[in-house]
Amino acid sequence: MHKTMNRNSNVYTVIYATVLTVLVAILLSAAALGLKDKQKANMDNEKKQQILQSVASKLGKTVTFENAADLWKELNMDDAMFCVNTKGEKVEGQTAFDIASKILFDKGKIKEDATLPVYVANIEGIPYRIVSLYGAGLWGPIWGYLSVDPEGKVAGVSFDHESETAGLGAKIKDDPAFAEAFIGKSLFTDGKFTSVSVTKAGKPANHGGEKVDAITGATKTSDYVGDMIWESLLGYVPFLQGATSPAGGCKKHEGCQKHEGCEKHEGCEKHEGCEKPCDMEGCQKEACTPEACGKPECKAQCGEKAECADKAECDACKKAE
Amino acid sequence: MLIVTVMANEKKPGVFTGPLWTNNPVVVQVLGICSALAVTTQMKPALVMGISLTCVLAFANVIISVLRNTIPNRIRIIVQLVVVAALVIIVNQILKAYVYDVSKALSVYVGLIITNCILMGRLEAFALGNKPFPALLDGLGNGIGYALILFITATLRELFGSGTLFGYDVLARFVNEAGYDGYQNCGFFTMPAAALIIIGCIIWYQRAKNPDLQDK
Amino acid sequence: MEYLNLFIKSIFIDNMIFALFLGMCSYLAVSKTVKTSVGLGCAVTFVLLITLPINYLLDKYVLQPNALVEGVDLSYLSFIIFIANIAAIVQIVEMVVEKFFPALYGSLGIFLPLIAVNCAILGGSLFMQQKEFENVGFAITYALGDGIGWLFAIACIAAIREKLSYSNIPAPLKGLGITFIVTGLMAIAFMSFSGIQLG
Repeated sequence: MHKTMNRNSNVYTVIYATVLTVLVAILLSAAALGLKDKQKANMDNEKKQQILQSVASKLGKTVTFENAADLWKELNMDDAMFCVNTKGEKVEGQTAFDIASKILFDKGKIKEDATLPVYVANIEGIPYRIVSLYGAGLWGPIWGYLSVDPEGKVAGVSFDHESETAGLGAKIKDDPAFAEAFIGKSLFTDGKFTSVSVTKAGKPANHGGEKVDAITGATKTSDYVGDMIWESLLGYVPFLQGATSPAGGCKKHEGCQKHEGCEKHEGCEKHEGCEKPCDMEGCQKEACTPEACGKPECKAQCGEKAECADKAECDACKKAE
Repeated sequence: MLIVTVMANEKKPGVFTGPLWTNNPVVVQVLGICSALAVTTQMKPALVMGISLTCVLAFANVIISVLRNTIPNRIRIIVQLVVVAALVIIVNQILKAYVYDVSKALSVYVGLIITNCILMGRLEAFALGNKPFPALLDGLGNGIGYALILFITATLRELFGSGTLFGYDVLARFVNEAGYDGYQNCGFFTMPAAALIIIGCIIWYQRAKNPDLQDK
Repeated sequence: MEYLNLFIKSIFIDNMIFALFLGMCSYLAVSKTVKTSVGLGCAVTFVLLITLPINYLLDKYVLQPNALVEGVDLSYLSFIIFIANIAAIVQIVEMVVEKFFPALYGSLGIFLPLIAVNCAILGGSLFMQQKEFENVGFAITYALGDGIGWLFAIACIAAIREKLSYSNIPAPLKGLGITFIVTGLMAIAFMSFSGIQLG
């Protein structure tokens, strides 16, 4: 019992508490530091899975937590991602993968100066550009990835949510049929961004353009998905449309589409230094790229509409051929 | 087996085996119900939760039992909470690193081990007044008793709610082989209410078998 | 509107007891009479209202990555910080109430020590952290909603248990067993709220 007296003194209590705190702090820091890399790898893997899920239908297989890392490597995704700003220009100096979609938004609108991540999955020679989505759901944030094929059509989507109602709103993630409904919908109507709306069956789309039917019983969450796609893509539109260059930039190439690998786009006169031939990636029905104008593959993709915006340019390029 | 033999030698049969059934922490002592209900939709998270809690409880029991003569009386509860919280953080870190999908399914319920009444209950009632070895047995016994209830509940909920066991398709296949066409999942079992009713039924069964546990 | 949305959701849809199973231990142990249940429910709401905003601020300005010092992520400490904060606050509240509001202490006081280890309190903080609220207003709303939801649940079950004590229930089901089953049935009833949508 002699210890009991001792145990109740203030000094003893304070020293005891201090020693305990220090010991626990050391122990926990050691555990946290030791396991950090492994945890980071897991989180990255989950993100990779979600990104690749948006092109799963093109890959022709399901993307799981286990095979995501291998698929990622197989598609060489680490080299096929970059950042763009809201004007559609490439931005150097940031790793697309490390950008959290959440910080790109301010009160539900994409920030003017945001740096947006883009991932490109090359599947059977076709580059699918995957963009990230983020927005408010009914009960918490919702986010996802949307892949766009070279024609401006949706190649696939993957959604996730934090706390939508299980069995109703949660279907945006759990019901494959909902995601499949997006495939093949065009984001553009006559060259104008019209997004893909999500509205009740029988109701028209919100912004013109195409729509997907809302989940029965979860119209609100579905609405939010539509809003998220619209708001998130607004920042990407210049990039996705191939973006007209900033003022003072490429005037001659009005119909010219920015394409992967083209470094000297800004102020570009005739794409000198640009090594890759225009791969039709951004070919729009209305504004076929001058380089490809008149070429058979242009017509194949663009149909009879394959006309350059700039007639003189088009003639020049035909002549060059 | 070793533990059981040693225990028999020490003539403390109740410390380890008691909590497994007749003095089960969940259905008899009514401790640690929160997580028992929340993590039982699938078997894998339930199993991991059971193992996690058993580890935390055994370690915490031993640590507090070792420290029992040094802990200042006034900050007793805080010291217990700190020890438990530190252990839980370590468990959480390990889960996040090695079984990521399970740690997502358990979400905040791992953190809630801290306030799991089994822990504070056993620390206060047993570890503070006993030597480390019986405290270890008590921790293991109660942890396993808890895991057992979790496991029973999760088995029922996963089998009927999703037709699977540990993610393997069982019921649908069985039904198909019996010549019928498919099994429609019983959504009720995946809902929170089912957990409450299943545990209610376990209590019912157990008290029917052990009349001395019944309320007068 | 977002506040109202969150408030309604935390009371009815994500009810602490019926959907999240938080604070079940005291829910089962203290729900024998309506009077004590309401007392405990008020105490839980009160403590939630104090601890949640504080934990929110701690999380936002200390624990989150890069919050305190650039490049330092302390989020792994959140469990221990939250529970230490809760234990400390409960202690302080108990002392303050005892000294300045003896009448209130008479009715709430006995519950306060119980609350430090009530899952609903720590659970509220952990769910709040997971929800990543934009500002402290949401945290307060969430705390109020959670507390009222919990109070509501325990008051309901206590009322039912008071009536049940006159019913002829099979002996093995008496007490705990029937309470579980009744709670389950109430949870089913509460599920019908999950369709609520606010514009």
